[in-house]
Amino acid sequence: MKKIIFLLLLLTAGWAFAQKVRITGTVYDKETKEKLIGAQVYETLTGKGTITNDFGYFSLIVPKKDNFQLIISYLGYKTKMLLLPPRGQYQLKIELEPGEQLNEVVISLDKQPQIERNIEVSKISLDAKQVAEIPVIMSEPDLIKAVQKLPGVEPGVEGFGGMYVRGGSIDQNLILLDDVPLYYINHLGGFLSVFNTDAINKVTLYKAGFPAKYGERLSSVLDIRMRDGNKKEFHGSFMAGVLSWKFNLEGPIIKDKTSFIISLRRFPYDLLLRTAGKLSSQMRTEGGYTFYDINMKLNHQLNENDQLYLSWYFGDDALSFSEREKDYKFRSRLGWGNHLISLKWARLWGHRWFMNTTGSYTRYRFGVTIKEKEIDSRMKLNFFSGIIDYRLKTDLESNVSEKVKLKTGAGYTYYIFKPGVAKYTTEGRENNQITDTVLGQVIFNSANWHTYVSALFKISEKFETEIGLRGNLYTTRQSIFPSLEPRINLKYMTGENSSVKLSYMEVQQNVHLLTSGNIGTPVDMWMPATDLVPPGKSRQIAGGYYHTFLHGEYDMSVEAYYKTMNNLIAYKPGTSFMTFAFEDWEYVVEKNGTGRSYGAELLLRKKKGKFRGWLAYAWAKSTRQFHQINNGKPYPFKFDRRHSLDITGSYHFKPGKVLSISWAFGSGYPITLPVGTVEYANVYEETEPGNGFFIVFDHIVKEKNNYRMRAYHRLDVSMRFTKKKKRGERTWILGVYNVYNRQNPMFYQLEYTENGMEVYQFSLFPFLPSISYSYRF
Amino acid sequence: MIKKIFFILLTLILLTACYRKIKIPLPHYESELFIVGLVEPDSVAQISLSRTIPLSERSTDYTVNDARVILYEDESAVDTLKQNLSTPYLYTGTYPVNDHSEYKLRVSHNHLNAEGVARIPSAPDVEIKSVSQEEVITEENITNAVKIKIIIHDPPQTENYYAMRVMKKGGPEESQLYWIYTSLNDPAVMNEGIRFSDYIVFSDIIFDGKDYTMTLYFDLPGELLPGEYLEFKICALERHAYLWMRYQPNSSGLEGPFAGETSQIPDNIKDGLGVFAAKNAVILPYHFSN
Repeated sequence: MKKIIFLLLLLTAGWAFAQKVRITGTVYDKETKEKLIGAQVYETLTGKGTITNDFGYFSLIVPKKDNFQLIISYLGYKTKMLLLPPRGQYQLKIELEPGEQLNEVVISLDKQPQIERNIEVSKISLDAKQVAEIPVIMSEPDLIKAVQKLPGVEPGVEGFGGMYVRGGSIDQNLILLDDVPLYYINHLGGFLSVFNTDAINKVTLYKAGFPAKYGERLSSVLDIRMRDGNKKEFHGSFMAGVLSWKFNLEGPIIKDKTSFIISLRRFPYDLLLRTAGKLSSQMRTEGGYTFYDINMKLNHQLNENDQLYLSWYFGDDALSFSEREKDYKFRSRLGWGNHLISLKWARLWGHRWFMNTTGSYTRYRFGVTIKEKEIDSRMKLNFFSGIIDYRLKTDLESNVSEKVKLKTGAGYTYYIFKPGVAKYTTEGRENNQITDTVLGQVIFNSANWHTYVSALFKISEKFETEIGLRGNLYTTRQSIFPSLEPRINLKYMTGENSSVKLSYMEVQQNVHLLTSGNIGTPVDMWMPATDLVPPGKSRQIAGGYYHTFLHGEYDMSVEAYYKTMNNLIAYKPGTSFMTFAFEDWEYVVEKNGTGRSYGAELLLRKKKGKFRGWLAYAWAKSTRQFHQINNGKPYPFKFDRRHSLDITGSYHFKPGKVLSISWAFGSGYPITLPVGTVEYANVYEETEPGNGFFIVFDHIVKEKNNYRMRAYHRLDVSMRFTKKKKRGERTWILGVYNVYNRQNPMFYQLEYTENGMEVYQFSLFPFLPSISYSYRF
Repeated sequence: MIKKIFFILLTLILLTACYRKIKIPLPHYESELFIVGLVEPDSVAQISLSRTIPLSERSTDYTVNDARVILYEDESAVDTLKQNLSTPYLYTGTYPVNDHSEYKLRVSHNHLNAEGVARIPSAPDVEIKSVSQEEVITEENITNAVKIKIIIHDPPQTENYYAMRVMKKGGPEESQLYWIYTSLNDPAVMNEGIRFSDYIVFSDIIFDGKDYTMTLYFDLPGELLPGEYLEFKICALERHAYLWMRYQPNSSGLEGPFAGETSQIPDNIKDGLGVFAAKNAVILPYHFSN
């Protein structure tokens, strides 16, 4: 080991001392001055290339030449070429103009970084435009629905915003909004996610080979970056859709220096219902549901090297009911939502080190309030549960030499878990009696320190490796759980535009989600790992073949993976969140479960031209094993799907007219169905002598998840009409969900009928037309 | 505007009206012999024998009449169990089962045959450390409880399973003491324990191979009368007896979108379904000095 480290140091030093030139810079959108994430920067004379990071920043070290030719490109923008005169060091501000690339230029870009040139395995990025063009339910673009169409991501129950990545559970996804995690991401039970696409810049999904800066969850990282806001001009938009109405405003506060973006979204129908209720004098009851999101971001350029970002997200769902009579009032409100705020400081230290320091607060809360007032008494009940995170972290990156790129960082997270507190107050007027009762005031605290280091080594023109190590020190009650998580990525270029890659990673998850049933619901509770319920761990090896062809118009990846998961939990049979006191939660779960997933995935994308889209196919197998479930035998994971196929595309047949089509197919999810019934005398249950035994009627459930639901398939189509108007641009989206009205399974249920016992499939989403209107100014 | 609102409401109505229900072919399944059997030293074997009925059949006749049910002790036939006509499905033997033996049960009826094997486990090595009376605050109220400390000498390198029952005896009425399920209780029992009928059932997952002092609280309504005493029955269980006792309180949940975990029938019957297993108990009386 010492020899290897010495050799690496020697190589690094050798590279560092050769005559090199450092080219650094930031890539912007020319019209809005927003930074472009993932823009490709390629120096043609030396053949060196890179991509911009989450802050639009890049750094290249190239051998010294008389001059340099830099090509900067980004999907949806005109490619730019820069001729750089001789100099020792460059710090550039590059602006790209939105628009289509001319074909003759594309040809010269064959060598620019593409899917096969990145070191990461199982990483897929989508930008807001791609998300917006995917036809979805009720013509409302949705980020999670778009991610569900990627290979290896299972949506779970139809209509609910599930995300099950490579056989992982719903809690095994780290969902980051501008570097801060969100714990519950659904509105309307999953019809929509909490992410307003108007405020989103880019989303990147990691299914394996996580960079060392990410950890905390076993199966995936979904890194969502909000837009910074236009630094040059004021712009805005509004949209009236079937599910929500949105308003977006952005612009400069100080031109070219400080900008803001604010996006509001609301489910509007409760307002209509309330108005209708007030118009009717007969109506004494009122009820409704609503949700809203507010995204806000401020960013300020302090000087050439320093930038500050303040991000704020606030979103809530509320279900309310009230009743009013002469001497009686009743009000109830059930609400849940996230609140997130982060302050970020990005700094370039001496043209070498790029630093990002973030302090953040995030909380998820679920609450119920019931108030009842009669003539002589009052009652108030409050129940709430939730989780709060406070985080501070710093990430640093630098090209220390032409062939070594170093990333490092550290951070601290403090968690506060409030699984359930109920406050009950009653007040009687006659005897002036007041009672206050607080139940279940249980708070769990835990904390995690992390640090990481990773280095990307360009061993040769063809071979690169990234080796990283992430260390965690998780503390809870009197226990400490240290962990070291190795991360290794290897890439070998098999041709000019093709490569093979391999990755290995280990991850520790310090939080568990107590979830009832088959879908994520707002009442699911996050709990800390403890000495009795230790942190989850996963190991994954993944690799594949990557190829870009036809002048960068198409790319494809074929990947295979094998993942194991340990220390998984599940509710004990017959238990749910209703059946235990929160102090005892560690005792109502089956512990030390294991999981195993393996599969293969294909992603074929057409990235340019009038028709763009992708085909995603996955073959997968995923099982779980608990000592006390299914008689200790492994059983299929509830969202184990052997085959899934998604074909998604949009055809831009005229300027302003886009036809989008999406077809999804999935073989059936497993469910547990009894196969028969039986009666027996239970000789294990002792009764009084001479009274015999109890006679028991039972269903025969031989194995867990022993049956497969019917296959799922669905075609969605949408048509987008965009037209320039005097002061802006209006867009109509007409959409049809489930065009051929396939009755897809949502759940199965046994029912007793006149003909005996029968199994029924319940479906929820038939042929659904929809429309939305938006206007940008 | 009115048209727009109308359109929006129409869409909402469409959405709520789109609930569909269709009948699905039932999974194929053939009827099997269903055995629930238990052997215990110094007792005769008792088994429940019935047949399972596929969901697609409308019959409700689970009875298996005149089956041939033979008990083998260490490969030698020692008993033929006869149908007990006073209790449905019950077949009873006449041969008292021995300690430390292996028993095989063979059942045949028409074209159906089934077989199960039970091994009598060693009696548990336990001792009572202390018994005291205390007031305990539960979620509902304050109750009089018996606090019991027992030491379990768990054998090393084996998975062991236990069931424990406390009875009040010696008075005009015998009664069972109920286990108080709160976090006051012992982590080993809270972790794996489950209440089945009169018993608390638990495994040695936390104290495997150790001498473990377990603290448990049982509800003791009222005072003990003169002459009354407590009787502890602590059983060692075979794994499938343990699984069966755990399964029973949570059997047959049916799935829906919000359904919890379902239980699966423990099964160690070859060519059939059900459980044939053994237990071995020690009984320890405890008299309060005052």
